[in-house]
Amino acid sequence: MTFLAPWALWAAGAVSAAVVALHILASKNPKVTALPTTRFIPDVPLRATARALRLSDVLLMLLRVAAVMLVGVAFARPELTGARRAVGRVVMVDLGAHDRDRTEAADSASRYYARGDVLISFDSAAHAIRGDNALTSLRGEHDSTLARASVSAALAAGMRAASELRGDADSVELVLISPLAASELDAATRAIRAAWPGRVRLVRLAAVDSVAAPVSIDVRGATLDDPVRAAIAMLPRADTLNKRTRLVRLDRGAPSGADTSWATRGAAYVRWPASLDSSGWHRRARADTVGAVIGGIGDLGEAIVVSTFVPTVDAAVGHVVARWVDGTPAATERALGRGCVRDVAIPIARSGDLALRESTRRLVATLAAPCGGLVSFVPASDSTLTQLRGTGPLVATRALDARSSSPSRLTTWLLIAALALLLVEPLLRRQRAAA
Amino acid sequence: MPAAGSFGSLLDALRGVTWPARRTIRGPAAGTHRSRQRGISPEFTEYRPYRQGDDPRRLDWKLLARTDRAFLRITNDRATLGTILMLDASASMAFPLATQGKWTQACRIAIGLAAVANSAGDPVGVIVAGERGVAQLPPRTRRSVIGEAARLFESIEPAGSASLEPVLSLVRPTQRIVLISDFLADDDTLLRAARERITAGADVLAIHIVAREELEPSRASIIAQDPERPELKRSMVDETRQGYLEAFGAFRAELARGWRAAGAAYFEVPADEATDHAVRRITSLALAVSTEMRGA
Repeated sequence: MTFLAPWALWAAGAVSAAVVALHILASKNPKVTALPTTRFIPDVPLRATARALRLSDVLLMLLRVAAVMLVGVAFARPELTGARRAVGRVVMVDLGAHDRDRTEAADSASRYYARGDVLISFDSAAHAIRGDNALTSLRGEHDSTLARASVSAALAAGMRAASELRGDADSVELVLISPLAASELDAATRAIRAAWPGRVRLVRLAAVDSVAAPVSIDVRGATLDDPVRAAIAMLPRADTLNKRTRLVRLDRGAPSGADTSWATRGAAYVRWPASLDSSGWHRRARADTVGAVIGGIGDLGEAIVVSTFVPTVDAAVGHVVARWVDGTPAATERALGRGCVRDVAIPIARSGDLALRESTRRLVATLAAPCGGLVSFVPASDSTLTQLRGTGPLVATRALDARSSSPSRLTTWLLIAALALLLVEPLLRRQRAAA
Repeated sequence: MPAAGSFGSLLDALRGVTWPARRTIRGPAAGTHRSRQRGISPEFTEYRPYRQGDDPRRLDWKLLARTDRAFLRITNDRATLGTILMLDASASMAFPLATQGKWTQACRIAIGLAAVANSAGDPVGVIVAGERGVAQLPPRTRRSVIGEAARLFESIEPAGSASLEPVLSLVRPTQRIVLISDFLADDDTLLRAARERITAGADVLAIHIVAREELEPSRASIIAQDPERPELKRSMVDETRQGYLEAFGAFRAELARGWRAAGAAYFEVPADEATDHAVRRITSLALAVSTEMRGA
């Protein structure tokens, strides 16, 4: 057993010594006792108090000392430890949009993760995977994430989880397994990294494309005068024989089971019904006029179309990829197997030149992008990685801030025991007074 | 207060114990105690020449026929001795409060002595002086007097202050008077009254009941309070304990000397002494005195 705050033990010991001293030195009023032979006692002035250098109320004293020591031990934050390891690791695995099957990330994690370490998976947010089968759990996560990974979130979670290793490791090392694309680092990364005094081991995943893959869009259910079809026709065509080409199916009609099955294999299925009223989506309580729509996924940037729209339905719940100018969602995306389904609830009028505008073309290109958008994984610069890696030693677990960890179960039980003793103390005191 | 049914083992332990009078007595009824009178009992003692005025019925006619001399056949008479047990039921006898040890011991000794006296055919009476006055059982020879005494003791709770001195006047001077008390409430008045009864022929026994807590007070510091005089409080601490022991010892020694000088038998009985042992101690002393007198 180790104590994270041993000063509390010394404080409790001092208080206990004071309690014992009070029991030795305390004066008290002697009891008035009937004695028929009182007249034979020499007549000296009555003493109000009796002092004696001997222990009084031993049971009460022991109870008080036990309560004080239990509180002291609880505040000293005891931790039951087994054999300590030299180095414990916090392994942070990037499960962002770059890698659909996580195989490479899981393999890399298995090289660094050992029993007792902390495994954290992260995309835009980070969460710890606990339990003995953490690696198995990591491999078993097949649901795709469409969010871009955040190294800042991973570092913050890793630093917080590092304190969990205080009990069984002398030092702690952060291991970051990620493609380490420039887009995964943000303005906060440097400041968060500076808060960790030790070095960070960087393990770079290979699944990084420096150039965005070409996109092949298959439009279905569209009439010849369909404005969306017209806008797509103006987009550059990709070579479908190219292995890097990402497939997108844009359906202007009703979806089928085959479409869903097709999407699960890694493609993007965009459902953009020409007739929104028959889409089956939630109908708006009141149709209102909206002056613009803003869309944007990945590195394509935002596309803003200023026109008069009358949205009548709301897209299905999911990650919002386009919004009306009043803030309500206009298009959403949700993961489906290794692919995704995107619902677009933007009415495009057949009349007029809306489909021919450059802004509309960009909006359609954005909404017909592959899952997660067209992300170009530009590697972070060497100087950035050097800064991220750091040069310091491993961090000693004793130096970690203990306040961030939650109290152990042992501490809770110690405090409960102390509380129980303190509840018994008045009863015992009352019993002693009555005796 | 002792339960009336709790004396069985004591009575069993005292079976066969005798309690002769310490002196010859003057009594009409036939009993077990040596009488001052010479009479017609079959227990022959001596011959005495006939003198004018003697009862001719006491002449030994056979001796007169053989020797032609008139002699009287002298025998020792035996008489009964009324025994009065007087108990002090003041508040000091209820000490210690938790056990009422002094009062319990007083009652058990009274029952024991009553049983011993009653087994010899002596009439036994009980007088209890307490806060509410005097409760008494007149002297009786019947066996039920033991149970009646036990029930009387059970009904009494020692309290207040009481004195045995006025009660002494209720007793005939020819009886055996047993005073059972802690003698803390009375001063010399009780001793003076007892001395008068002794002079008049009474056989007086003073049985002084003391509690172990009075003989050996606890080492703990306390403020002692007299139960009969609540305003009297003294500190029982290390500095006063020795003075207390000396003063109480002197009191007991003076008490014993005073009673014995008056002609009474004095016994100090701790409350924790086995009652049958105390009763045997009391009766055996009287037996020794009686034997000694007979030998003289």
